[in-house]
Amino acid sequence: MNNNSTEIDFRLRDWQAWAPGMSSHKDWLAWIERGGPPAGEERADVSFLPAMQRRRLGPMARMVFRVMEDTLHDADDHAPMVFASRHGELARSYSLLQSLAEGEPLSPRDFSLSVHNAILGLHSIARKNREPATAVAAGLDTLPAGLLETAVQAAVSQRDCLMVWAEQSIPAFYRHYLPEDAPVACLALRVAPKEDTQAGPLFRLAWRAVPPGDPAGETAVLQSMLTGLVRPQGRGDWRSERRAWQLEPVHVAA
Amino acid sequence: MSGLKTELRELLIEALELEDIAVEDIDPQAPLFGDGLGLDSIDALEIGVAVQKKYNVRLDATSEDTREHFYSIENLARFIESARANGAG
Repeated sequence: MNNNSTEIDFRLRDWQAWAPGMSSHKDWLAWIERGGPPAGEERADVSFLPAMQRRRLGPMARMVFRVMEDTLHDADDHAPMVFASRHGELARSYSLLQSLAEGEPLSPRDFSLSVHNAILGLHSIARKNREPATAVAAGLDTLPAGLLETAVQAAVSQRDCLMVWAEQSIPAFYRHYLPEDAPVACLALRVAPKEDTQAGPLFRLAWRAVPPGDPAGETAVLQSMLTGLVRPQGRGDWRSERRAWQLEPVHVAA
Repeated sequence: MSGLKTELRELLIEALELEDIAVEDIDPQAPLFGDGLGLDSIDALEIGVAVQKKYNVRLDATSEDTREHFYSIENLARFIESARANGAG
């Protein structure tokens, strides 16, 4: 980018994304061109799970389980995981706060699932995955911060790490405070260290501090990031409140 | 009592979001936890809250009898009946 920027290289072995009405790579490549909020109401299909495991999954957890299922191919395929979400399962926290305000007993289930890493906890139990799990929330920088954390973990551990980012619709009560668009979508990136030359194409994520300014909304960031990662000759370029981000393929001279 | 057992099974399905499970699938005599329905400790707490809300009957988490009351739908129904008869709540 320039002399003031910091960067990290990583490889992308696989990616999967889900939003209402969109699940295949073809759907997403078409969306990258089109942009706009993903539309639809349906919930992600997790019928591959036993009913007793499905029942505690809210709409966001169902998306996460769906994309993880498509990214981890067999039962022994375990990897460290990073969960990134700006708001997490905000509807659950809101319902707990409502119970408190009304002097009602809190739902033990909602309470137990109200922490930011609960979805990865449920996922690790379901898949008997004892690898580290990390949860990230970083405002409008959440998506690139999740990728950065995952790329760092892959570089340090020299093995594949999985990022899963998800947002769900936020309760009406909070809409007033969040004028930006809030997508309902989920993205999983299977990231490998740059040294693993068989793993897939090499990318560079770079960022630098910039003067405060108008940030890109989450939908625009998702679109930019996917443009840089999966569109041929694509390059992602966006800014948040105080940072400019860039994501592009690295072409190594033969 | 049989009406109460059906009601409790409905309450269980609703409170625990047991999708794919119908009232008939829950044997009133079968253990709710472990080998039976397969519920866990979080479910036990959730049932406790649901029973408290609906029947105004408190289950004491520290009491030895609680394990017995929670064993099956039948035991839970018997406990609620007797709590009501004793004028608790």
